[in-house]
Amino acid sequence: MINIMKQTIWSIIVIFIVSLSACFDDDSTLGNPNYNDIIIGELKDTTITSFMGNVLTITPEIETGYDTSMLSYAWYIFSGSDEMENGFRENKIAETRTLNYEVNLTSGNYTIIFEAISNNDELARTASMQLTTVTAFSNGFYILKETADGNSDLDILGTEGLSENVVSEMYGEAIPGKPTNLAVTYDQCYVDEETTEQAGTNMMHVFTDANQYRGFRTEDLALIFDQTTLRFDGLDADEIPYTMARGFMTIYFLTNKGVYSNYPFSMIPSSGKFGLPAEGDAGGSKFIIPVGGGTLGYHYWNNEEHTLYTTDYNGSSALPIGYDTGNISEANLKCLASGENKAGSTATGCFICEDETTGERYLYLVDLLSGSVTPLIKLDEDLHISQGEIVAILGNGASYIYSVHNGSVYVYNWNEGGEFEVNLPGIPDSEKITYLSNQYLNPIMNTDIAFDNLVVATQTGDNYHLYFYENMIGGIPDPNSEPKVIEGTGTIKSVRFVSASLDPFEFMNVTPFWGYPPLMPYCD
Amino acid sequence: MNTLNKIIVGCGFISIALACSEDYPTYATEECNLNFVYYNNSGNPYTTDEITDEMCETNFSFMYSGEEATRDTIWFDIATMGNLSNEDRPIALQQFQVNGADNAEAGTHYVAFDDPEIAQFYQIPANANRASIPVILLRNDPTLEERTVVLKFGFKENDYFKSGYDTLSMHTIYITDRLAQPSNWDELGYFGSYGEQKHLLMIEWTGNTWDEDYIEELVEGDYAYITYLAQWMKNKLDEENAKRLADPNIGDIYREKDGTPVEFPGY
Repeated sequence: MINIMKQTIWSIIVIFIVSLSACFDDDSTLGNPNYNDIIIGELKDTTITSFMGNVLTITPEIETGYDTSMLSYAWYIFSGSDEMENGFRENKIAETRTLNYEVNLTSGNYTIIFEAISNNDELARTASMQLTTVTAFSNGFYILKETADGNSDLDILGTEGLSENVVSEMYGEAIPGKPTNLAVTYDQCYVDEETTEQAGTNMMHVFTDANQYRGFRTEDLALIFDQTTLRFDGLDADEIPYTMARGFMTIYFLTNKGVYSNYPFSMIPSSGKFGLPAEGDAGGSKFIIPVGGGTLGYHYWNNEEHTLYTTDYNGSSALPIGYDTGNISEANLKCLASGENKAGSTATGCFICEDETTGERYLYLVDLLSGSVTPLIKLDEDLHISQGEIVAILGNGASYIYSVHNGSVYVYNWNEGGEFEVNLPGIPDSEKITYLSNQYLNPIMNTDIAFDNLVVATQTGDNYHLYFYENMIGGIPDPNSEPKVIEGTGTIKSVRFVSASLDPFEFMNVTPFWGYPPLMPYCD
Repeated sequence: MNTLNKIIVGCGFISIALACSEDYPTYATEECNLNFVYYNNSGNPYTTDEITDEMCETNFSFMYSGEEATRDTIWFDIATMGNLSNEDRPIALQQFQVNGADNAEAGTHYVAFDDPEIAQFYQIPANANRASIPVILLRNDPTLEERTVVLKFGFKENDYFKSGYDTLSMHTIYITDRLAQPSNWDELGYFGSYGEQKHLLMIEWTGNTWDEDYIEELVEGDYAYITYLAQWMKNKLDEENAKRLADPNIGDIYREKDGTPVEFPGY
């Protein structure tokens, strides 16, 4: 009797449980004889030049148990944070397995998604890749040169080769005046004429001795600003524009009237026009270096005051630094060169100045982390650095300053005080060196775009050769590596590199603040 | 058997409970409410937890209405909560007295909310849930050149509507005939604290009104231009103060009525 009762109870409980489970759907896939997967092969990241008819062609590898005739495909593209707002399916660019996509995108980084879907059961799988786009002008070396008639023009060594005399080709004439400086900024504000919206862009800035200024959008060399439009009031008649620089969180503009500033577009959008100089003293120059310490701003040579000045990370002040000159009078000093340097764990800023009355030269050393200036060092007049026609600071690798004296190249080590000659392979003795600088890019995040070149220009008549020594070992070009060489017309004044894929966040480390090498040179 | 019965009954109750589904009642609430609506820069309404006291206040001065003006109008957006109606529904407003303040008087400082002149505007149109309603301010009191009166008002319950959320049920207008601090003054950022003399100088030096509309236009426009103006004002004040100090007939810098020096911090 008891056993029968137990059986009855258990039967009722089992029936009850089974009746409950009848309310649930079976969506398991185990044991389904038609279940397959879709495995997509890796898609490789790529860089391509836009607006040149270049077509991105990709045929993904697919492994699947499905009948491939029952698969459908889609390709999508999005930029930056678009995925967050719209999902990755917002912008479809193809519906075939093979992508043939002519790339006409503004410079930047994009994500491409390939999706394969089973039409039967809607199983979908995706694969992604990064596409970096550049334009002919958005990624490469800009070469500022003096033309035969004493004006200024640009050659551009971009992804599609050398484009010569770009300013006169595009605008009908070169920029009046001899070139004095070339500067690059990133994410600078301006008003896009097509959209009438405030926007940010990378820019290359040209300055001449006729107080002419041109600010070009590197995407397409569109003229964004000139000396009449850069400031709300326009430049004063006696205002000398010196340079433009992207700092930690500021775009600086230096003239003989002082320091102007704006925020980059990613921080605070605006028209990009400058207002009035910062509180403090007038004066400036093209010789600037970013510093750490309390101001996280810039130290710069003040042509008008003949001493080193500093501005903060907001560009809201322009004040003399104050340092021990060791009884050396700065009254007649002019600056010849400046730059950042990192040797081992030491980050140093350098300014080379010359007394215009005596010809004596002096070295200013700046501790880039604190911003403090060591007492001036008078350079021995017998050294080549004290006599050279060209002086240039090395960016990374050793405590070196390059000089060119009587056609030969020397390196001065300020820690040891000595000099040695450097033989640069590939330059004929018949060519006179007219320009030398260390051009580099040391991003922390996207190290794929890093480079370190010693760039040397020579002149023969009205023609230049530009030598790129791409293998630097301990601050010296590898003597066993031949340089890359280009040639053009005119006399080179300055060379600057612009990157289409440099993340503006890199400017958080614009100084060697976190132990990294300098990001890029700001002046010659 | 008792045990078996209990088990069977227990399972039965459980099954019944699981077999039941809840029928939700349809929305049938007759009560409708009114709220003021305030919009952000993107044109979207602020939610109740985004509302600040400043949004619910308006500083109005007849100085911007023109010398000839004897009245001016401020429009407010309102929205309903509840069902629509296929007929126009009247709304009612009422003034709330503010303790310790010079309260505005109907007929002197504003057209009374129950004045027939204005009744046609105080309604929610048929099949609509929004409207714009006017408050007509009057310039009948010459003492407004020396003082400010306060009109705090909100929705008055009638047969059609009740007040809505507490934060969206009332608005305050400060009415004067002298320069008044624009309610969005602080959005300028770099011009320092408000002062009537400072405000007068800004209007005189630039020729712009520097009222709420102008400030809103600036703030939504070019940040670089704002910082430029801020520094320009500072430089201009320094320049003018130097002239005043050099003038033996003046010999002092610009000050507010209470003696506080006018200051522009600049950018």
